[in-house]
Amino acid sequence: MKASWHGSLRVRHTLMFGLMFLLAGSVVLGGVMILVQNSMDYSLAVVFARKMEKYSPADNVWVSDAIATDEVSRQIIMDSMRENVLFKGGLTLLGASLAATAGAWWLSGRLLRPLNTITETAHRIAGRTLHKRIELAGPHSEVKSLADSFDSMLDRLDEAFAGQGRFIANAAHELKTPIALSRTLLDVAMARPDSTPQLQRLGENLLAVNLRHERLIDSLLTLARAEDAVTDRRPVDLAQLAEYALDVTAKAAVDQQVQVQAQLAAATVVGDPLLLEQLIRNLVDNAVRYNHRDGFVWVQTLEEARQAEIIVTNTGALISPHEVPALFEPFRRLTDRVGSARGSGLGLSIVRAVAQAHGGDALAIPRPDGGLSVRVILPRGEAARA
Amino acid sequence: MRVLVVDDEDLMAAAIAEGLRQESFAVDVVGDGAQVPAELAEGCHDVLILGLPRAHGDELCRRIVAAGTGARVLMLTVFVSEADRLAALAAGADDCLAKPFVFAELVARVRALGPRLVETGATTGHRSP
Repeated sequence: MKASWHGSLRVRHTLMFGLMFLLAGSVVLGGVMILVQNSMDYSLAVVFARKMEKYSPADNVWVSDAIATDEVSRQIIMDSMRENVLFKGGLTLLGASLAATAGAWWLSGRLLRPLNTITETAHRIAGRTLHKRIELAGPHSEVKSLADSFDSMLDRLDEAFAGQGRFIANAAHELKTPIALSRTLLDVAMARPDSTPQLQRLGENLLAVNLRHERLIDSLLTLARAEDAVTDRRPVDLAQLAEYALDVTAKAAVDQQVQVQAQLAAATVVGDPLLLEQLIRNLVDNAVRYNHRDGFVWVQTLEEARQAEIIVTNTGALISPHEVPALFEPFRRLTDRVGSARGSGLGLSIVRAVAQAHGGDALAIPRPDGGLSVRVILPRGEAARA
Repeated sequence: MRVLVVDDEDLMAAAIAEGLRQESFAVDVVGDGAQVPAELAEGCHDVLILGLPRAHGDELCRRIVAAGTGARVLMLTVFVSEADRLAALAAGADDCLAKPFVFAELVARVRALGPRLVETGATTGHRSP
């Protein structure tokens, strides 16, 4: 982000320096003026105010006359001096001020260059990669020590993020391995030719439980990944993702006798396709799941100059406004909204985490006659310029 | 056709072996990745199901491909990301399947990896199931 012209340190520096130079120059000029005037006043008084001695031929003597002054010549000389000092001196001062301002512009540019380097690096790092460093070269200075402390802060952040990434990967492995094991055991046991109907039923129930665990772990991992910085950024069309999500939930919607209406306009953002897909699927899933029979779901995507939006609205149970913040908290379900524990309790937490990881946000507004309208706003960023 | 199964979880290896036998595959199980090259060197396996943790599995896969035993490798592991899956294929795996998986899918993939059976000629010289 570029600093605005009146906020820019460089401009402020330069203006301040130029103004100070002009002010100091004016004071000096004024002082010089007073000094020159005083000294000329004195010397002109000596030159122009002398006794005029006249020769009197009658008496044949020099007669000393009254003091004569030549006010007119004196005034002319003084005026010319004033004009000279004020006009030419003033012009010189102005010229010197301009030169000083230009010098200040150049100098502050040089002084602030390392700061600009820091800013640029920080922007490049922001939210993408923590591997870059400023590595400011040059002698030790205030700015260098700022850059160095920035670098060491990045080192620590990098470590923390890498640690979190490792934890997520390890947790995924450790949590999924036993689930994979029980799933395979069940699959194989149920396929045995001698398995009884009771065993089949038990197997089916256990598979359903297993599936719930699988989903919960996937959701937890998605949440953890979303709260991490988004590293994979590609142009993504929200409308396409919404269409896909609607296809996936179409069967559930029919089962629940929920009518889905979509109004999808192309809305491109730059982000992680997998996370954004999860976001939209969670929104549509929730809207279908927490609905009543013969209810409605409205899905809308739209694109504005700077942001893209997806709005998913459903009919359903009445929700009071004070319950809304709880909807976004992990594992908080509104009991009157949930008949059974089919969801992971992470749906809207993931929606918000993904939106925020992309620099946007998710808002929910209860509908007065029951149901909820969730609006996700995502900044278009580079997609708007493309 | 003959399948070699290796998995760091004994129970998992046994379950996969049982399931594949039900589908009339000939299955051998080894409990340790270190025994895999020796077992494969005998040259009678068509498919290796490699269910080892990622780093270990990739390394073993590279060695097996380098040894050139002709057995096709199906990597069976917990894939955390797309990049993991690509790394497995880059290590020389012919196919990969993420745990947890549906058993029927494993069977289908193993079949696809095995030698193509010719329906009309019953006696093709393959160790057909």
